[in-house]
This record gives sequence, C-alpha cells and structure tokens, in this order.
Amino acid sequence: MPNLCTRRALLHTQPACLSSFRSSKELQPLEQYPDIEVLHNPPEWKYVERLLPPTLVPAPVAKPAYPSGWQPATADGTAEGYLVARTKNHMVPVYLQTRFRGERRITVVRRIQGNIWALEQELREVVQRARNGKICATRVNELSGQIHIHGDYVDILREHLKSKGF
Amino acid sequence: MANLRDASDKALKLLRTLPRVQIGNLRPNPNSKKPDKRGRAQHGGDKHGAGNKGSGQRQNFMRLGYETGNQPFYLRFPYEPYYKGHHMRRQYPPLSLLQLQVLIDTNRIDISQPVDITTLCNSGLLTLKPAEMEYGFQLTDEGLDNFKAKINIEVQHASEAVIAAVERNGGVIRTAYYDPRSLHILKNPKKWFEKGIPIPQRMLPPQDAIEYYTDAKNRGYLANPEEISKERLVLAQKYGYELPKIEEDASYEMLTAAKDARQLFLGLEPGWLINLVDKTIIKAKTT
Repeated sequence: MPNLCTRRALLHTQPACLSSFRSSKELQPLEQYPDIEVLHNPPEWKYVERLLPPTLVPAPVAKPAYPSGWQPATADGTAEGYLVARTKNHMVPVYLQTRFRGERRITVVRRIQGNIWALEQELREVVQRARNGKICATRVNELSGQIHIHGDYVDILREHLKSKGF
Repeated sequence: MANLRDASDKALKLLRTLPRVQIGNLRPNPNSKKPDKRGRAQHGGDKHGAGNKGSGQRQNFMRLGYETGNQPFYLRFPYEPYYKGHHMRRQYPPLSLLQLQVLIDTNRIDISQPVDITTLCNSGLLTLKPAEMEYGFQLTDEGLDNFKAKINIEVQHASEAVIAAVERNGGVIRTAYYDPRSLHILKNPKKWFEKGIPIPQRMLPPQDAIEYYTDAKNRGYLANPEEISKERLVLAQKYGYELPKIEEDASYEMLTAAKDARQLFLGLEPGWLINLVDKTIIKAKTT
C-alpha cells in the first residue's frame, strides 16, 4: 500500500508562499543555536494569560453606576406582555437603516418577542409625541419580530426602551 | 536502460495515484472545436453594441485619461502638492472616551490591569490594520464629562483635554509608539504565540515622531518621569481639579506598571518564546 500522503506531497509542486513552515529556514547544526531553558509553570505565565482573548462575550457585572449611559436589562416582559431582548453584545437592538443615499431613514427595532402589536402602539405614541402629534408610519413584521418606523428616531426609542428596563 | 525503467516505473506509480479516465475528467480533442461565429441575429445582434466605424468598432479601448490627441486633463495643470506623501502618513483611528466608558461598563475590558492595544483589540469590538498605515489608537474627547474610570491606559495619541479627563479620575495615561510589525503582533498575540517565533524587540519611533513621544506634555513614553509628574500638576491647575495622589492609592502597582521602550508585552521580554500548548516559556540560558 503506497503512502498516499507522502505521494501527494511529492506531486505538490506549487511553492507554498504563505506557509511559514515551508518558507522557514532549514535546521542548522544545534551548536549554532543559543542554550535555552524551558520553564514549566513560570511566574510570568499570568502575563501571557492576560493577552489571550476571551472566547465568549463576557456577561455584564452589576455596578453601582454606569456613567456611559448604558444599563443592564432589568425587565423580563411579563408586565408588558412583550420583550425586546438585548443583543449578544448586551445592547438595545434599535438601528437606523438608510436607503437612497440617506434620503429614506428607517428606524428598526429588532428582537421583539410576545405581543408585538402592543409595542407598536406604544412606540408609535412615543414617536408621535416627538414629532408634535404628527402621525408616523410603521410596519410590523410579526414573523421576524421587527418594527420599522419611518424616520430617524433611534435615540428616542432606545432611551424609551431603556427607561422601560429592556 | 536502468534510467528508462526507473522513469517508466515512476510513470506507472504516478498513474496509479491519478484518478480513472471517465466522462467527468475528459476534454475535447485539440482543435476539434471552432469558436462560434457571432451572427447578425445572435447575442444582441448587428454590431453587438460596439458601434459602426473606427476604433470603437475594433474595441480599441484607449489608456485611462487619454483624450485622442488633446492635452489630457490630468496633465493640463501644474502639480500642486497639497497631499504630498499622504499615503505614507501615520494614521491613528479614533477611540472616544465615551466608547471606552461603554467598554468598561459592559465588562468588555478589565481595568484592574493596564490597558493597551491588545486589551482593546481583544474586546472584539475594535480592530487595527497596521498594513493600512494605522499606527494605533488616539483617544478623543467625546464623552469627556461622563468618563469616570480610574485606569492605566496606553494609547498612541491623546489631546490635552483627554489627558486631563483621565488624570482627574486618578488614572494614568501614556502615549507610546509601536512599529507596524509590533502592532501586527499586539493586535492578536495569540496568533503570534502559535507561530512559535520569539517575541521581537520593539523599534524606536521614527525621527518625526520622536518629538511627540519625548514630550512630557503628551505623556510620552520616552519623556523624563520627573517632568511628567510636574506636568500632571500643571495640567491639574490649568483645568482646575485636585490631582488624586496615586502614591497613596491601593492599586499603585497597577497604575505605575509600564512597558520598557523596547518591550512589546508587559512582563514578557523580547527573545522569549511562548508555548501555549505546554504552557511553558522558553528563554535563552543566562551564563
């Protein structure tokens, strides 16, 4: 049985430009290298651990104050009948969509669960108050749990949702 | 003869590893196919969109900017070097104090340890592209009034107001230069350790950056520490706040931790090799 792995390596003629292994220098006689010592559990390992990135987004920690204006979600939606879940980065999912070179601006509220129509009524009132009683256009996507509101009301809606604990 | 037999053996060996001849890997005989003639009624028809006469019909696309004999627009005016060397200039992507405060509030960075480029990039929300002439972060003054954290931060550029905002809270700020190779390592140290290459030495700043990084007013990493402590006091008086005494602070060790001018990572020296699998550090033996 011929060793297919080595055979494939022989057939492989393309130079491996991007491989650090293939482009590395050949091994020289060991005397040419400096003497080394391998340290197991060195005291400096804590500095290495500090440099490794976390594998998951860290959960927020309860603090007495949040000066940046961000705050953790407190409501679970039982009182309101709906829930606007936080994103994986623990932010309120309110976004601005721009189309036609910024001519059309649409505020999108995502990650809505529960009674989406009740939330739509509420957000509509908030937006109408912000535009001095003028009626605003909304669109509800029940399946994907999104509400689209015509115009840029991102800051107003985000602050409103935060004040309700979402 | 031996050579020939070797060659045929090799060819046969090669043939055994090659796939079978089948319909999927066959191609037509050479010269058996003629290119299609584009008739008047085919593919858009008539002249196929190439026009009637001359260079247009022959699809003779002229070189960019050529105006068929006119003095081209790009050569018509004398050279005005407003942006001379703009592609070589160092860029410092902005990071505002508000963004930094959000990172701290959402527990994305740990301020119980000194903050540097690696800490910011490891948050997963900020990136650096050293290959696109980005030489590190500049801390900008947006959200200056709401900044309340006591941190030891190292950035590459900071304005006076930002320095005052950090020092008012009892923190320490330092501006430091990293060469592009060091930045490439700093933005993802894990990848560098996995390569199995020793930690290199950090280069000194280029000539036009030395003035900035040796100035105590900018809290440069090459400035005289005594002058820096004097400038801290001067800035506190200018902006009208009482300078917190970091000597009496519980986290004095952390707040005064600083890298050497030739050091890439705090606590790890150039020349060391980090083995993440065995959790060992390989050092040169000192005799």
